[in-house]
Amino acid sequence: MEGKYRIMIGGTIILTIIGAILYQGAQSTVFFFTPNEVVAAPDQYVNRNVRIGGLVVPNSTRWDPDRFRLDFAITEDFRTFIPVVHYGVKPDMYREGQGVVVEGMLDEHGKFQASTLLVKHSEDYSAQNHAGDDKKQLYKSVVR
Amino acid sequence: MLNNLGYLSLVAALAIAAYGIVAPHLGVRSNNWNLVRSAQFGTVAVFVLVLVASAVLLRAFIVSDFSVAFVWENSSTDMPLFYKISAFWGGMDGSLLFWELVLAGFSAFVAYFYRRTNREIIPYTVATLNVIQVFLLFLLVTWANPLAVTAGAPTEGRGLNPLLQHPAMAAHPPLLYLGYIGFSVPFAFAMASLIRGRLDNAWVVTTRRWTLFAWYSLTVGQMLGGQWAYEELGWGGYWGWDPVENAALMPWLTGTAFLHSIMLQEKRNMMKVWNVTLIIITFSLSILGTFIVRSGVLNSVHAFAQSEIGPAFLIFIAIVLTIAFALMFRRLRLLEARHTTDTLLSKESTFLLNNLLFMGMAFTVFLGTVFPLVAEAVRGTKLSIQAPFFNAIIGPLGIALLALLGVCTLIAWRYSSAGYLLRNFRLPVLLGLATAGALAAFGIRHPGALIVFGVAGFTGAVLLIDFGRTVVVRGRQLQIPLWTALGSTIMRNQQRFGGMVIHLGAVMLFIGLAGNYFNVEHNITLRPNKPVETEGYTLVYKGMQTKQQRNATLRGAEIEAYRNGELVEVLFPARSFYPTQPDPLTEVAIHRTFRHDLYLALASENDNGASVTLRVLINPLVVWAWAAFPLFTLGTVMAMFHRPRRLAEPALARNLGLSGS
Repeated sequence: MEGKYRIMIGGTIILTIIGAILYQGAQSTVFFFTPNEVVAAPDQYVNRNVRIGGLVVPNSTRWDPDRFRLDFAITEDFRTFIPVVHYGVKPDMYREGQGVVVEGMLDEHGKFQASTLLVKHSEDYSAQNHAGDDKKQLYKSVVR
Repeated sequence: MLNNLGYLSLVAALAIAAYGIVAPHLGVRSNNWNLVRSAQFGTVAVFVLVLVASAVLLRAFIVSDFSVAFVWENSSTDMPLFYKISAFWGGMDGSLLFWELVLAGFSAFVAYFYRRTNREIIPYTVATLNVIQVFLLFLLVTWANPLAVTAGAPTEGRGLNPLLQHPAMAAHPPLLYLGYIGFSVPFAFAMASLIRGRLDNAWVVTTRRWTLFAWYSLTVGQMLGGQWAYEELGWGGYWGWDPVENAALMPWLTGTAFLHSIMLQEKRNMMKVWNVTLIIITFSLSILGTFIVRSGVLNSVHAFAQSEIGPAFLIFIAIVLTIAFALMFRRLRLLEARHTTDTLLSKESTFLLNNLLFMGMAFTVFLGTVFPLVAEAVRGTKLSIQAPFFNAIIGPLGIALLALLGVCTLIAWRYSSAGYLLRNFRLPVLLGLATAGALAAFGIRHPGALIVFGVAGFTGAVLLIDFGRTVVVRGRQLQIPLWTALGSTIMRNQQRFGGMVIHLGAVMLFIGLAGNYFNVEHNITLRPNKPVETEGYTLVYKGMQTKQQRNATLRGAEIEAYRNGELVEVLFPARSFYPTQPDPLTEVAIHRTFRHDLYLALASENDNGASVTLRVLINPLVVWAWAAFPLFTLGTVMAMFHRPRRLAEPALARNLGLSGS
């Protein structure tokens, strides 16, 4: 008799946890896309919370310290670009030409409203000169 | 020359450890105890050889011998000696050597110290420990050679990643490894019991201290990691559900369940299947944890396959899980309990619920961490599972555990009548409600926080009242003053007192965690000598300063913090520049009180110091979380002293699960 209660309660707990996992998982999973994927079909990404990884386009940065507003563009192959705006402090390691991951939503005007800005850098800590690298390889090494 | 000697030592150690897997089995089977003894001696030989190799590597670090590639990668001449030494475990190869060194030491200790008390299963225990050592030594000798030679003859090294040049980060990996290695011992004993078919409680009783030690190491290792993240990474928090953090959390969760569950086996001969399962999972998760952190799988699932080490780890885990569970199923009938849990409202039930909750948490963290990796491997889509997922599930489960802690402490073994429950729980429940009510009256309205504080009040009350009652009764019985009764109760109930102190630490930790509900953050740009008010503080920027600190140059802002018109502290949020690294590190400035941390991070220096932008955070109750550390330490030390009392013969036999009953 008592054994049945225990199985019932234990089972309920387990099922509740699994249900919570599935529900929360669906809510909190953020997919990661490349700039080219987004530019190819922008309507799919409007008002959808996603992450995009790309390189910061040189000479595209505008930083307003009084309004804490950072504007820049990201790219994957230097042929197509996505404009990004982020409100908040400019990260220490933000550099043009380096990889960043932005999380947020593309608005109807094609500008990416980033809620989070993550600056990624190569795991390799030596100060190497990347000028000669193939751009695609560079993208792969810093973002993926 | 010396470095070659070190490498050869590892090769020899590998050979002896391999011998040590086979010899005990053959020795027992053919009743040749010399074979078994040779394997025991072999563990000492392996330890000495690995010690030699470790000494060689350590010497290379101390004298900055950059002909060793690993030293070149992780050290530089300008580093303080303390960090030159900690660079030993600053990378994969060295940390594997460190792991193997400690495991070899523990194996030798186990082989000798327990050879009489566990005569039947010691040969298999030694064999199992040697299996793990062969895996590590094989990696060390092939793809993770810490003594490999550098190409060329460099005179300067790359230097240790400056993020690791922090005392907490120097201690963090060794402590975690001690935890993982510590759990290897009960695992090996469990495997030995299964192989031998001797399924009494000897292995549990013998390894209790190892389990406690391993648990403590993992706990402190993670707390130091959190402290480091808080002070060095500068985002303002100490836990971000990062895969690397989760990798250490998973074995901790199942290990904590295991630590409690074995008590039920010791006292009531129950949960044997649970315990074997939990230790297998804990051990496997600790290997998985090292794999996740060190194999490169986090950069890209496809990158990890480019090195052979990643697949080697996965294969090893697969082999361990397969063989271990196969052994368990083979002996399942011998493991299953003779008593079943008596009633629902009993201490036994709460232990079972405890296991379920911890497993639930571990499973959740596992899914959240591993699913993105699997998704990328299988479908190529990269996705991340964010903190809200973990918080939404682990939060409620954690609160349930906190409440369960209180319930389990008070509830009776086997059966609790309604009257018993009412009498004993009435006061703590009232105190818990009163805590929540008082805080609500003071203006705290956040429901989650009120629940946590209320449950913390309940559980804290249970712990103190329960122990206090024992002291009072003892004082009354022996007609001695309360202080003496307190001391005497502690000395006679070391495990119980130690447990209570650790649990009080857990209550403090939950209170500290609840502070996160009230975190506030502001971005503020300050100009020289123009005060800015925020959250009850007045901040005045006095100017930028440059300071030299050993091998780093610090450039930061001098900030005076005032509260109620009085200067509280002068803070120096800064960035540190290391000569060998291109990017600077954040050095946050913290003013800590019991109520909160005033946390300043330098965001940017504008126009050469004409103005400075700071991130200003108020993090309530952080020090309460750190306060758990001394409590955990004291409690563990007390519990370590506990020696199971010598039982009379029939009771002893019953306890060890032997004939009858």
